[in-house]
Amino acid sequence: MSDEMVTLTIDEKEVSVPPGTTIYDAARENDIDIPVVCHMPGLEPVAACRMCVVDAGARTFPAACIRECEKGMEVKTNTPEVAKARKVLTELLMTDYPEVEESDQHLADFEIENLSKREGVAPGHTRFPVKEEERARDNSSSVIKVDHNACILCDRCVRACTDVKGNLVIGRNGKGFLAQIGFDNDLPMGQSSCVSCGECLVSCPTSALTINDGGFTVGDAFKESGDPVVADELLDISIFQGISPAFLQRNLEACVRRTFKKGEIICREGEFGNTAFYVIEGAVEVYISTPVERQIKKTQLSGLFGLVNRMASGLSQREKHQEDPESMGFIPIDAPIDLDKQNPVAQMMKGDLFGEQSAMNFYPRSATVRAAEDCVLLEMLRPVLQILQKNPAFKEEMEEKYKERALSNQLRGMPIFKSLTPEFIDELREKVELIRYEPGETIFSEGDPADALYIVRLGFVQVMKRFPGGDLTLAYLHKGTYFGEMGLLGEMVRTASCKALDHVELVKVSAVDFRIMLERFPEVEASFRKEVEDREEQNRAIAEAGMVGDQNMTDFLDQGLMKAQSLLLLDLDKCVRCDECVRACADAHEGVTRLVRDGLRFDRYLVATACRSCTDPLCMVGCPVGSIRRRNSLEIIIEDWCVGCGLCAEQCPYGNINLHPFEAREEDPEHLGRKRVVVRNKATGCDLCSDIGSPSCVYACPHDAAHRVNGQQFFEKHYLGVKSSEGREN
Amino acid sequence: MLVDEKQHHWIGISLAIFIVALVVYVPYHAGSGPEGPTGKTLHGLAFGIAGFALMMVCGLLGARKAIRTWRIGKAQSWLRAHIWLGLISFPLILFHSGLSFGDGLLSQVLMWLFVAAIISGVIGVFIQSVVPRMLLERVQRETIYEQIPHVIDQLRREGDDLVEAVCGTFEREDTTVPAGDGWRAKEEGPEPVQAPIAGSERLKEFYVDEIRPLLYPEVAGEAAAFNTHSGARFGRMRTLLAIELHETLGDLEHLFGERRELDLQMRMHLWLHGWLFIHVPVAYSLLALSIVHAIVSLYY
Repeated sequence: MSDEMVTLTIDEKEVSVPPGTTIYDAARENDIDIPVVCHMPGLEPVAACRMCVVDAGARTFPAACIRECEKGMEVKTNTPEVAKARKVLTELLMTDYPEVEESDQHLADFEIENLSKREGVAPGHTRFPVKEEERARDNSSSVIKVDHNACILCDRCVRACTDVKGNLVIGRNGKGFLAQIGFDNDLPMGQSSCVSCGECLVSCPTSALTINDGGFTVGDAFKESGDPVVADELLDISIFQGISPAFLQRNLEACVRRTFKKGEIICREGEFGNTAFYVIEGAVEVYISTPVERQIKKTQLSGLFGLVNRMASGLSQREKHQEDPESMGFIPIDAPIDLDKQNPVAQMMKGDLFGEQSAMNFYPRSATVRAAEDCVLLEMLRPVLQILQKNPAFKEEMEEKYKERALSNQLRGMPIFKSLTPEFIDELREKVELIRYEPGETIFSEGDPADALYIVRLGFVQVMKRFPGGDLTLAYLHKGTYFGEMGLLGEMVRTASCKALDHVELVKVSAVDFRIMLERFPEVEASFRKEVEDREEQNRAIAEAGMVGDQNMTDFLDQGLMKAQSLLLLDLDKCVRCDECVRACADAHEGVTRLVRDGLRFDRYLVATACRSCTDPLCMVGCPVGSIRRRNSLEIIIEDWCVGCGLCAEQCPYGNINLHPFEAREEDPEHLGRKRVVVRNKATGCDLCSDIGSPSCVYACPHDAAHRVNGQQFFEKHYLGVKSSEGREN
Repeated sequence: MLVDEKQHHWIGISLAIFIVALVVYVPYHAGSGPEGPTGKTLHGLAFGIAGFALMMVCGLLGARKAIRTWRIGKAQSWLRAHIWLGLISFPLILFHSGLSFGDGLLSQVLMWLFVAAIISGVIGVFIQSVVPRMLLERVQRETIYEQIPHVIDQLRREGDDLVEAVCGTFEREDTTVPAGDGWRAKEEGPEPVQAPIAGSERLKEFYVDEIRPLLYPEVAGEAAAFNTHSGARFGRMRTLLAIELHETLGDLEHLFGERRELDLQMRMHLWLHGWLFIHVPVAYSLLALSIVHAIVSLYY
């Protein structure tokens, strides 16, 4: 691999980089500063502003953000000619750039202003004539203000909205001097389909996109659960360093400081959680109360479902030797550490973050955490985590912690790596990368060059192979499994495509390190080769078997059942269509049933139309009176003060919330002091009959056909053959 | 309910009761006088009380179903108890009567009612074990039973739209689909053409005379009769019709296929629940007459 590296000099410093690296990236990796405006890491370079021009020995100055390094290239980043060109460009940019409003001064950390200061060019004070027409300002969005006067058309917001978030709201309108950014074909931002994610705001290097008054607001319960924090205080914490103070300011309400006494429980295993915690002072103890062995025994003994089809059994065999729960020595939890299976207790210290997966995916807490001593924690809601995840300092720190605390255990816990020495694992630890993927994101495609081995740290990965008739799913991989070895041991080309099914975290071992490992540990190589043979054989069998069984899995995933925490499944092999479940539901809810014995089907199951208690319940978004909420368990409840606007019913992608009319009494405006009967609507959804103990639909089924199951655990158990997770089946 | 491994402990309990009863009954039978064992003896009375108690427990299933929200044991446990205790109550009552059907009219009626209840119950268990799987395999487009007439009406409207699109309008009682009338109404139907396609008259006749009359909920039997040779009918029409009408004919065949499946669902639904029309009245009559029998026997 080293032969393929490109060697060049930048400011007389010799550097070697992989082919395809841009001059800007090569300089940045070698701590050589090249100013940029239109480019930022994570976005595709477009070289619109030309601020990053360098002297590469050619007739013209190329833009470093887009020009790739070439062998023997001599790059100079700061010659007098380059500096002059850069100053002229800055002047052009600053000629009609407005002065920042006084009210924004304390929030402003706009890159363009830093650049103007560095180049000694003040906004509006250049050699060039200033345009006279004032451009529009758009205050229609309650979250973001738009000032077209300050926009330099760098397109960072367009790329952030389109490429990073995939929202496709921001684009360009007009040509030449009239060109400007626009929202949904030039609608006011507040009327567009903008979801106010803030990605454009974070990406904008100028004051064209700034925070509107108000910002993020949360319920009083969260605010009152701890002490408020200020932006400066957060910026002193390492993981927040580098984040725009403006954006932090906007999200301050989504963050509180909490103090816990020794022994106090911070969060409990199995509870629903939508916050993450960062340890500022003190230490906490994390543990799970249910030993894994017991779970295995319990799951083996139970078995309400007997679904074992050819595909599922094929997959079970496929992963038998890499995912044998009894041979895995660790329990991955939602923290930068893993728990030892025999003694599932660990400590976390100052600087540790836990609960991130719960907050991001609305997963239940994976472990109980209690204060090991008096401690101070920062409790954060999802918006703050989203900001953090874009922050390189945070990523770096989390990766370091994971490598220090969990990676060794994970590698040692995997049977195939058992023969690696602790010294080699320590060596490997320094080299691997921790990578995150969003749901639906492609990790690599069939035919891509094979450049790494991946170990699944969190989430699920779908493995697919192209056939003339379409894509065939070969496997669904879960935490503790690995993929990518077939390409590395074969022709260095990916033999299948891999896609993230949910929020996936992978450990990436580069091809070079993989080869070193195989050379030093022949037994590991032998295991991998054996594994490749087995997988090839199984893939052939799967391809020959066609889509038998696989269609069930595909249906399961397509129908979004993985995200369900409490699916009502009716086993149609047993169901005699007596409707006792529907009647029981109606009896439990004042005569109004909350389930319909009809809906999607997969395999032999009918997914009844009833609330699934999704892990990411879209129905909760936007309720104007906050009447739909989730308790500290699974059920989503709609409080009596529902105003019947129907937003939750519209938001539910599965049609599981309905509006029912009921009679109410209200003041009669025509006859003061008298009341009249009016018909109002109220949203109703399954509340899992939490008030009477257990779901009535299941309790009343005489034929053992109705079951409440957790989608993810059902999927693991019936399609992946995993025995370790506790199947919650009623 | 499938008789699966989950019933093992109920089978065990029932067998245990039976064996205990048998162990008690055999010496009692051997030691009884020339009249043989009767319900009047202490043993006979004990068997009668035990059998009647089990019958009462079985009878409580109906009451349990009426109070669905009470947490007094899962309905499936009650049903299992109903099945197995009901079965075992029969030999107990036979032991009570000394393995005879009795002399008096009431006793004989009771015994025959008991036999009817047991046989209908066993048939019911068998039907409810087998038919759900048949329904799953053979009725792909199952709908809620009560909705079947409504769905058939929708099929007729769809068929009318399909035929009108290529054959021109014809007389129909429902020309428009009411707004918000289910998901089918929201689907885009074929656009009506200005002029009928040449040769489409034959298709219209086939639809209006043969298919459409069967797309009413009340003609299930006729639809079933047509079903036996529908493939041949559609095949013959395919030969006779111009190629541009084949797509519409295919859509009609598909639509009629759904109609046939709904018929099949109705028949299977009848099988699934029809036996209850015998079992429930017989069982409650049995309970009522058993109470009368107990009172009469104890009083006199």
